[in-house]
Amino acid sequence: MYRQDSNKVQAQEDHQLMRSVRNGDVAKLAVLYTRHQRPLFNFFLRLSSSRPVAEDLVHDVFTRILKYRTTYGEHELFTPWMYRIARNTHIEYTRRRRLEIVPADPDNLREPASSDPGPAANAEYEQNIALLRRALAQLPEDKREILVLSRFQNLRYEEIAGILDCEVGAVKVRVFRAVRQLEQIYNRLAGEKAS
Amino acid sequence: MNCEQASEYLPEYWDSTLDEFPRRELEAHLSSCAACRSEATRLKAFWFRLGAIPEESPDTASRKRFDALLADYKRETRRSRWDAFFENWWPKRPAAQIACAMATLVIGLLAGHALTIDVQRGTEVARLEQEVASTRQLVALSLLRQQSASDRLKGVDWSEQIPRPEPQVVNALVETINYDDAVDVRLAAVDALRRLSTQSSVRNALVDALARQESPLVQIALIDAVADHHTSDGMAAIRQLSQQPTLNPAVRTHIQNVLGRIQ
Repeated sequence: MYRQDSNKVQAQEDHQLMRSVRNGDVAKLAVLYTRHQRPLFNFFLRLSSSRPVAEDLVHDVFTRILKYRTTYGEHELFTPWMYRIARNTHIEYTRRRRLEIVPADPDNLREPASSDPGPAANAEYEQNIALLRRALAQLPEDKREILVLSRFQNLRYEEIAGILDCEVGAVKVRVFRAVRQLEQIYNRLAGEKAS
Repeated sequence: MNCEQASEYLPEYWDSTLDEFPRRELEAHLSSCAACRSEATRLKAFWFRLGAIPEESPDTASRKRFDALLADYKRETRRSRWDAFFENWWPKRPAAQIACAMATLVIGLLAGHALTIDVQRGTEVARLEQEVASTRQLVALSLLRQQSASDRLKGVDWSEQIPRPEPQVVNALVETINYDDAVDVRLAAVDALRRLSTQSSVRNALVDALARQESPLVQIALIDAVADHHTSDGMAAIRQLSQQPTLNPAVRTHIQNVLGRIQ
């Protein structure tokens, strides 16, 4: 309950900030950047498995927010609006580069620096994280996108439906199918690794 | 609730965000369907295992890049306000744009034409002024050589109408002061040259003329003209004149007054 209230307060604040940006006080975008840079970066990172690409795309999103700031509606919510822009940015990026977003070996990805020495020291834990990343990278793009939005980006199904322009029921079905397929990929990779 | 409907609610069920009514229906289905119960349990574990993928932090360079973007945008916005000003001023319709361009062209041509006329007119006036001055000089020189004193007096008058007389006219006036028989003509010539005494050659000519004059009136006029500039040569000439024993007492008195006033 506390988390939901906290999210609502932040959503209201974000809305006011974006209204200010829309009305010409573009300096307020710096606050929104501070709040949303990290989640947005991780969104792109989980979609692309590439830190430089994720950083570039975050920059592109905020460039577009500046460019199209006057299109922000009075009854809009900032986070879904931003993710719509983010999604379009990613679609255009993949189309432009004609990339198949399936990194061959996500084990090569730079592992995050963890402040917790316990899990970092645990080799099994690290192997599990690497396996999950590889499985996620092999998931079809549309399923990876909806799974990332629902599992990692802390978005409600109604918001995801708005971002993807589909029904809430369709979001629920697709999330379940995505997690089921991801589990299958994960088990396959784990089996390959064990054998 | 059937198996397919149950699967829709599972992620929300795992996140404990499912509403009361569908939650109860789902739990009822899971308690009666072993296959769904097994899958739900397995996927729930995997769902939470996914949460183990940690978040990463973007590089600090990204923030600097964003700050630069914002700064650029602010600069562009300031500049585009000027652009907007000109954009508002410039008509939107192509026909109006053409009309505006034509009007500007016509205004430019008229202004250029007017400017050319002014320049030509200015040149013409200067040329006419030069011709008039030359004519006056010719008339002055001609009159200064006449037999009649009144004609020579007119010649001095004509020379005074020339803003910047030629050296020939100046020399003719100096000759008039030194050699003309008529005192009034010489006096007029002194007044005419006094006006030009800012020139050193004229000042020297006036100093030289002082020693040659015998007429007390002309001497007094020359003393005043020479004393205007307080030059050492001029003052010496005045003092030398005062030493002449035959000097008219009125002139001597005038010299004393002039010297007293200067000192």
